[in-house]
Amino acid sequence: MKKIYVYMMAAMMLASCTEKPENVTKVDKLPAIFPDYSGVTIPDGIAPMNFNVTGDDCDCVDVTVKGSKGGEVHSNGDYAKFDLDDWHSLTRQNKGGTLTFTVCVEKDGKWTQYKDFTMTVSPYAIGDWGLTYRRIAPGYEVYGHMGIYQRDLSTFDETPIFDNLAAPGACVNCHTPNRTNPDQYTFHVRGEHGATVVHRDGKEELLKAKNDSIHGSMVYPYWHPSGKYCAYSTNNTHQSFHSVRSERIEVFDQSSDVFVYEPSTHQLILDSLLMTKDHYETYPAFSPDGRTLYFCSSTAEPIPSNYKDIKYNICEIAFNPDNGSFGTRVDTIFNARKMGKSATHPRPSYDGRYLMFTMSDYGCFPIWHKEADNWLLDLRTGKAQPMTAANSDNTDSWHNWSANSHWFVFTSRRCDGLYTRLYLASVDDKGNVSKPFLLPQENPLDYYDKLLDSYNTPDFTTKPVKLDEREMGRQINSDNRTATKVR
Amino acid sequence: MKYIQRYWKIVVSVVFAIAVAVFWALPAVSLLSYHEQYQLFLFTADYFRERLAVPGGLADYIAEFITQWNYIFVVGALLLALLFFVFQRLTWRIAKGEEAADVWYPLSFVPTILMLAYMCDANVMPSFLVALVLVQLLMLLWQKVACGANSVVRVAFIVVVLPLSYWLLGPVMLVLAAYIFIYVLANKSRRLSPWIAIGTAIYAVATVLVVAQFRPEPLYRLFGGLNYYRFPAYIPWPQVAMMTLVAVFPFLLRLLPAAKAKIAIPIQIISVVAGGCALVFFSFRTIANEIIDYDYLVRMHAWGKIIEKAEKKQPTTPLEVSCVNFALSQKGQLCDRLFEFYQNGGEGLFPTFTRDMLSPISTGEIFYTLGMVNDAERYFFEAQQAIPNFRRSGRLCQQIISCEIINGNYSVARKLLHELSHSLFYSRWADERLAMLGNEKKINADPVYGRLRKFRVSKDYLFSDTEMDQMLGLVYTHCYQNRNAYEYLMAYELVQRDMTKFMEYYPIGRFAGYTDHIPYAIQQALVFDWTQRHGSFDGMPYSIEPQWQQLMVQFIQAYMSNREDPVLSTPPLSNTFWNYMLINKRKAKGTKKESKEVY
Repeated sequence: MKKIYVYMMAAMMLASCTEKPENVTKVDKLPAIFPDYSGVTIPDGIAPMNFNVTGDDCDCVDVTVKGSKGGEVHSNGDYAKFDLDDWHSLTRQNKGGTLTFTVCVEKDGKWTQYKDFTMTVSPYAIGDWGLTYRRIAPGYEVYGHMGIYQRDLSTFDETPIFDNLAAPGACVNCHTPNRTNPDQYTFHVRGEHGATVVHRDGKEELLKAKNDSIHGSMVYPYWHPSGKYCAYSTNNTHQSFHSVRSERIEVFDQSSDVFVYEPSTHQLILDSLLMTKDHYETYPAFSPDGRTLYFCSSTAEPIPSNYKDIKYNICEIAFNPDNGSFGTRVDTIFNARKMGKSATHPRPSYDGRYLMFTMSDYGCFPIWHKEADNWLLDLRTGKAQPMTAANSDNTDSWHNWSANSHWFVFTSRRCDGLYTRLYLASVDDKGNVSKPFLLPQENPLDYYDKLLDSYNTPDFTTKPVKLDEREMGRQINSDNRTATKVR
Repeated sequence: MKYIQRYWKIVVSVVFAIAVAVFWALPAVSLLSYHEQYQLFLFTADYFRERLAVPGGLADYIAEFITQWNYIFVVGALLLALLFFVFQRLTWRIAKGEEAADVWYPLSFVPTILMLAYMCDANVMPSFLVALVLVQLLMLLWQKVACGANSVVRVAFIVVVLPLSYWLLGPVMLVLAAYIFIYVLANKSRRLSPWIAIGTAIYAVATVLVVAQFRPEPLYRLFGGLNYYRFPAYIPWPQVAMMTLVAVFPFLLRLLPAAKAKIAIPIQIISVVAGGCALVFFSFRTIANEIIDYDYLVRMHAWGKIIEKAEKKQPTTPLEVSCVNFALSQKGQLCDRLFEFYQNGGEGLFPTFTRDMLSPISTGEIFYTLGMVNDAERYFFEAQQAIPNFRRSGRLCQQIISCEIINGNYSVARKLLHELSHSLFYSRWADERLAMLGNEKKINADPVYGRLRKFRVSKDYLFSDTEMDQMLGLVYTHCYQNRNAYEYLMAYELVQRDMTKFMEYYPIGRFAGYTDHIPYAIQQALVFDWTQRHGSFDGMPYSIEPQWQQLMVQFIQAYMSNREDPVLSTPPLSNTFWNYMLINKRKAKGTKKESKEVY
């Protein structure tokens, strides 16, 4: 019997990888790793940047991380997996410094040491607790299991905010807090029991999904910094499907307008300058001082025949938060049409310095455009440029700023061309954009390979969102809705 | 005689199980396929954990393990028959424990037959049957505990088993609770405290309510079962009836008085067999199951059987008609025999997209065969997303992966293949495809992938279901070897009764390589068009066979003299384009909208 135990112990030791590198052969190339974390900039306190060695199967991965300001962590196993507390200590100690990764890989009993790579620990903390996002299969019209989730950025913990298990048949989207603060947020429910959910003052209100005066649903939201208002667009959105191998879906609006909702009165504040017949207005966003409303505008073209002629500029209009009135003039602050492009999804940094947007060849929905890249407009100089360090050959879109405006999150299809994943990057005081990093996971290769959902509409959150899912499910199914009225 | 007396019960049960196996393997084989294609059992720890994370998860896991064997239909039928066999035997064992007389043994088949009839609804999940069988085992165990153990053990049984069975088997736990409740009250001689009955009832309900604090699902689902029925928002009343029956049936049998075996047994057998057959027959013969059968035949590529089926009974729903037309096209007979079968306009070729898990599959297969790969993938993907209990589908995964491979999206294909490689019956296929990825030469040499890559258009257009003919024209003119696209184009114009477009597109058929004859329906349309403008066939520029000229004359004569003439509604004249064009003028149902709003 004793022998059996000995054999079992020996087998277990052989099966698990705990050997130390010996007789190491050094090679002058970087290790092939997933995710590509070489040269990225991270905030201190981020979850451990675990990674897998890709390419040929390997037997063991040994990684040592040394901080430029001291400290060291070590991992030895099937993939690079760092202890949570040790990792946090290391990043805290090296804030503003660098981490150097030494990777040794064992294959067929032989160890190879690759060229070291580094990670920069940003001097800027991320500030927020985590991220919120929707997870849904990258489909067409039909949706199955999906929901809005939140993720603690310092760990790998993900919890649902609202999962459609609680309301069978419901589709939820566009979860939007006010400047990352979840004390105020809004999201939409689509399907048989449609609604726009507005959370403020500790309770939820379910608004009627549609209002005849705006000829549609409330769609893309953005809170006024005071919390007194929330701007929405209303879009008559359609989709069609490409026939060639390189493209899939085309989403276009056949009409769209922008308006402001005042939650305390349930009033919709409309303005003819934001509801023109010959233009499509969409993607509203308030400036950090709340006195300007940015939005996108394109001339209305015959749809779907001329869908490639839909090109949005970024415009602004003055807004008076005291009485909820608009200015009398619309200005174009970025003319993408002149460049033969379309600029969408403007997101001003909360410090008021930049405005980030997505640039694509045409249309209002760059999420399905491979050429889509994120751009940064300096609001002080009026100059815009692509965020080359953060962009990729595939779709990069749907970004949001952290509360301190030094970090941003965006979705990208760069991994496999279909499934959108979340990337984070930083912008320093000089406007330099860092190489982004894929949202860390405990075993990233395994996690992302098995994950059949895309991430949508990510945003930061200063603290965990609290929502009673069952109660929300009950309210959604109840069909009790508050009507909105036009002021 | 002694042998018969001793073994007659088990023999009857075995005969019943064989009948059930035959039922699933033959007439109901399409239901087996249906169950199998809406799940993807994976041999991974994650899959097991995912199942065990919800109430009823163990029953789901076991049922899905069994259901995967439906891929080999005979094995699937045998396993299901075995489950029914065990269900019936346990029903009897429990009743026997309640001192039911042997003479009533045939009645113990009643719950099983009712369950079989209920399972003729293809959306009743095998999980429900598995859960019932497992809860019956617990009921038997309770009998032992109640008879042989002391009150501490009895209470411990209830305290431990009820929540455990709820988590592992789901709300069939309530069956156990109800059984214990009745057992305690009905067996006063065993001196069980009535507080056990009351406590059990309260404890069972409390268990569900406590679990509800940790689960997002609405309460009615937590009480009705998360996966006993495929549609989560619906708890069918027969399910509730079955659960009630399983709990009370042993006591009902006990109530029956003693009877003479020689009379009672044959009467019961005849009644149960006759009633059971009738019940199952009528439960099974539904339009939904007819459609499922067509889908199964498409899955099997049983084109001949589809046509045979349609010849016996004309299909009427767009999905069925589209399957028949698809089968005709696969046999190269679409434009020859199109009007031998009921047609309902363009819907019968390309049914309007609906948000369900069944109809997009065969339509996706049609697009796939025609080389409209993106549209095929969309339909497959939508069907998968529409699976109401959020399961994956092995069949649909295969199709989606094939589309990704044809389109050269190898990263996505690899990711999906990794998933499939953990299954039992799709792993070999997955491994073969994994080896293929990136190898353009190999993919191009594949008879299906290579052909579809040739068919796939290189100049982009946006899909529009109101312009199917234009899309088919683009697909066909991209590759003239794609004769099916031409036939679908011609058939589309004919069933839409659009002679102008038919005549416009007809000439491009000269590249389709017809050497034997112009397809008959096309000949009929050409003759029809000619006679609209000419008084005789003289000078007609098409190669029309004499038989069609003669039949056209015959048709015109009958039509002009009496439109109600029976000859017009009997073959061969009834099976012609002329009949469809002039007699059967019922407009195709469901005008298609321009495009649907997605927000």
